[in-house]
Amino acid sequence: MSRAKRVSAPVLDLVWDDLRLRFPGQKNPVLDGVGLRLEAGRTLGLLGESGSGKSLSTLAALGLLPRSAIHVGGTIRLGDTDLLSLDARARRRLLGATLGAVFQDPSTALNPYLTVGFQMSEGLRRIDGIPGREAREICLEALETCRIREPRRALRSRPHELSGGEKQRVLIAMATVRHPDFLLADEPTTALDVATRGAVLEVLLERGHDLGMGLLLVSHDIFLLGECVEQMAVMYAGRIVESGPTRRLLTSPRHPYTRGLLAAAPRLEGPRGRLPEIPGHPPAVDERLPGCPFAPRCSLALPSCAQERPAWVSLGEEGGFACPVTETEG
Amino acid sequence: MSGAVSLPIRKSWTLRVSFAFLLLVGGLALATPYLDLADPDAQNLELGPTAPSTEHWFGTDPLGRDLLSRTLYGARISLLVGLVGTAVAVGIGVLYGMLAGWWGGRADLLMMRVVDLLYGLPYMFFVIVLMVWFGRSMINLFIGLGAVSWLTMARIVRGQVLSLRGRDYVLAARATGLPTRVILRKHILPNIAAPVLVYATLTVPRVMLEEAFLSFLGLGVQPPAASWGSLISEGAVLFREYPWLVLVPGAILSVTLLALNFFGDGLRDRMAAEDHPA
Amino acid sequence: MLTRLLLGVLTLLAILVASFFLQRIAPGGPFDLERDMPEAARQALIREWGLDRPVPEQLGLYLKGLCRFPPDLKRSMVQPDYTVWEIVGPRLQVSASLGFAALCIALVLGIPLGVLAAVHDGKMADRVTMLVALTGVAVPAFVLGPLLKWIFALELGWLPESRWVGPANMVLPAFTLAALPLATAARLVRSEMGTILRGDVVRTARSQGLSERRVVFVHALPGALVPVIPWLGPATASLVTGSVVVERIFDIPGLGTTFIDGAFNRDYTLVMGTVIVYSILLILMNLLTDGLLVLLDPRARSARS
Ligand code: SF4
Repeated sequence: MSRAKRVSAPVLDLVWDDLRLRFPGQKNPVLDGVGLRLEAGRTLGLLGESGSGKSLSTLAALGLLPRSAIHVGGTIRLGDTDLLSLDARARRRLLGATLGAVFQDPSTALNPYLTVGFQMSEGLRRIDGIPGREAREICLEALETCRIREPRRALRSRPHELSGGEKQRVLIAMATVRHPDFLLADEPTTALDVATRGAVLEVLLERGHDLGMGLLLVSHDIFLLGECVEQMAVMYAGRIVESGPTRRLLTSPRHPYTRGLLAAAPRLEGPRGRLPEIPGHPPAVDERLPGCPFAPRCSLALPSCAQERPAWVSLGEEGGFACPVTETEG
Repeated sequence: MSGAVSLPIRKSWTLRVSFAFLLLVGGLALATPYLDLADPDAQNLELGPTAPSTEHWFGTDPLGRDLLSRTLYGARISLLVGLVGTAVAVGIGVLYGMLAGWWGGRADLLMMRVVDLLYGLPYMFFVIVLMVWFGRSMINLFIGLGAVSWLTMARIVRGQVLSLRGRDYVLAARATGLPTRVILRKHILPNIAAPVLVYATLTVPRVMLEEAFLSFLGLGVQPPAASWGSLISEGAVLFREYPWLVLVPGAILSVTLLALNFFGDGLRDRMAAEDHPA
Repeated sequence: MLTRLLLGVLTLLAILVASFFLQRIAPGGPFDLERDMPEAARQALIREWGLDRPVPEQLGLYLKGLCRFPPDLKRSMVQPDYTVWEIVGPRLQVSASLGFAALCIALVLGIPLGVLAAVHDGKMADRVTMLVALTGVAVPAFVLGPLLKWIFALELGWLPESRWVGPANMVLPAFTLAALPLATAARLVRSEMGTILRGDVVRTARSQGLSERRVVFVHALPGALVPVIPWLGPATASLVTGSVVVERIFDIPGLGTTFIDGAFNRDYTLVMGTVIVYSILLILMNLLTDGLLVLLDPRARSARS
């Protein structure tokens, strides 16, 4: 399959630049300098444990953060546009059209009172002004490419009549029905049956590929990401600790946390969820150290680690990482 | 996660203000006989009804009785009825709820079904009938109000017991062959005391409101005793000419009910926050 | 649905039996109030009404009358010139229109208030709305009624102060009666709406780029209305209770007053008649509620079809 090229203007990259967020009542920022680059038409994996801030990073780009979140600094840019400084209306215009999103739990994401067809076609009809019949055809096609069996029946049905895997596929079709340039998928298979995960992930990747979308795949599973994304970023305690091409991360990881993750689970059928081999837990937001947040769990930690914030070590094409200790390894 | 941090602060503010107000009302009600007040029953027909003045802060009623003094004495009755009625309601509700929760299964289903049904009835009519047909005594008032105010309590207790029933220490107590009565009293009751107290706080304003409702219909506290409700009722007759006769006790009743509700809600939120620390 | 109906009939029967027995075991009777009635005449009346027979037998006779078509509610014991229906019928009309108006006001104002508060969660609009709602709960009808009357009838003179002769007379009593259910509806909707607005369904809708108005009204509102429906039953019960007070304040010849008067006069047949009318009303309301829930709940609906 060849990458479907867009006829329209070249699509810009989606860039998180030193994004920092805080919640009231907490003294430490929950996102502490997140930097990511999701290139147009490419795939990026965002890896992190729950509470690391990976979902917040996604929601921030969509403008769907909890209302209490405070923007401390940094930007999320699409070309020259800073998404965080857009007003609500302008930001809304991007959603569905430029940025699509798929979330974790398909069982609660669809509106139980409305038919699948209504929900799917709503953006087409209401925002793009496409007449109902035509919108229906577009939805049918999207459902078909997302391998929904009997798409006509699916359009007429209500969410509770679908299985979990079907629901997530419907949500993928729905998020992409207006052909956005980017698709942000936050743990899209975690809530599903083990048996259906692979198929749904395949649909997601295929759909992204066919439409030439930039795909951000958020997951806690390093091997899942390893098999499907080109670039990867590892998040820990609100920071990106390592990033780079997937191959490089898997074969020669530089940050001790990434190494720990790789050592934690065997390649095949590895345990999901917890990463038990690294002792300890990620710190709560207000228990994070001023220096390297990983220090309490790191076997290489030096006394200075807890105090000084590790500088970013760039590896050029090969990404980079944030650890002065392994930097000297050469 | 963020809301949970800021919320209790706001809540505890209302909690404190309402608590202070309730202390004031309660204190005044207790102290009333020792205060240098006009006799609440002393009539002064020459004076008749007067608007609030420096001499009679709340004015006087058509019989020339001092409304401030009557309101304060009324507070004693209103609060008393509220507390005793609540005590009866708590007694019934806790017993009913504990048994339903303890028995579980079909008995529980049936008992809760009955509660559902009773919820849908205009139960005050029952109290009305009771007061009319069996005499307007204080005892009947307590029983009547208590008998119709236990439903929510029963639901809450039942839920608590249902969840406690499977706990280790309860199972252990059962295994040693302790009689149900003892288990319920020794092991279950102490553990549901906190929610029971909180919801009792929320029952008090409801019972007070119900008392006032009955008194307004002339079915509650009988003269010469007066509660806030009966003061309002007396005033309502002459409302056209002397609106303050209703508005003064009415305002006090409303603010007290508001404070009690705030206080109970605040306690409940605090308890919920302790159960599930954010 | 059929079991529901059966349960309703059973409830009705239980209420009837309970009120019947309550009446009979209470000391005193319907003909005690007329002091100057000679004892012989009193005894004759008691015999005529069958009050000297065993209570179960009386109950049987009464129930038998009810099973006729049209049901026989008997004559009023205290005003024997009228049948119970002749007294209850017109008053039911008054009370029903008052109650219906109040319920409409409560829903039409309460639901939007709840939505408004939820949408502005924690902001000024929310605080103000919820203060209004709390006031509705804490200010009883017998305080609110006179207050409204004082402001709008006596001071401003905009509305008639009492009685029941035209639509303008309905305004104050209907609003007085509506205050409590209005406040309750607003609180119900606010809390459910708040949960929904923070939930996944709304996040999906927002991620589609839909306007906030569409998100709130098309995606969040249906779910937020769900808890309002089962509440309609108890709400009707509280309207019935409240109507007693409102009728008294505004001098309205309604069913609540009839009930109280009947109870005071020990007019057994009149009380029973009122109880029956009220019970049927409440049972119908509950059936309606169940029907609406089935209609609204997608799971229940597809299970049926
Ligand atoms: S900076 Fe220190 S503590 Fe942090 S990962 Fe590197 S070695 Fe470990």
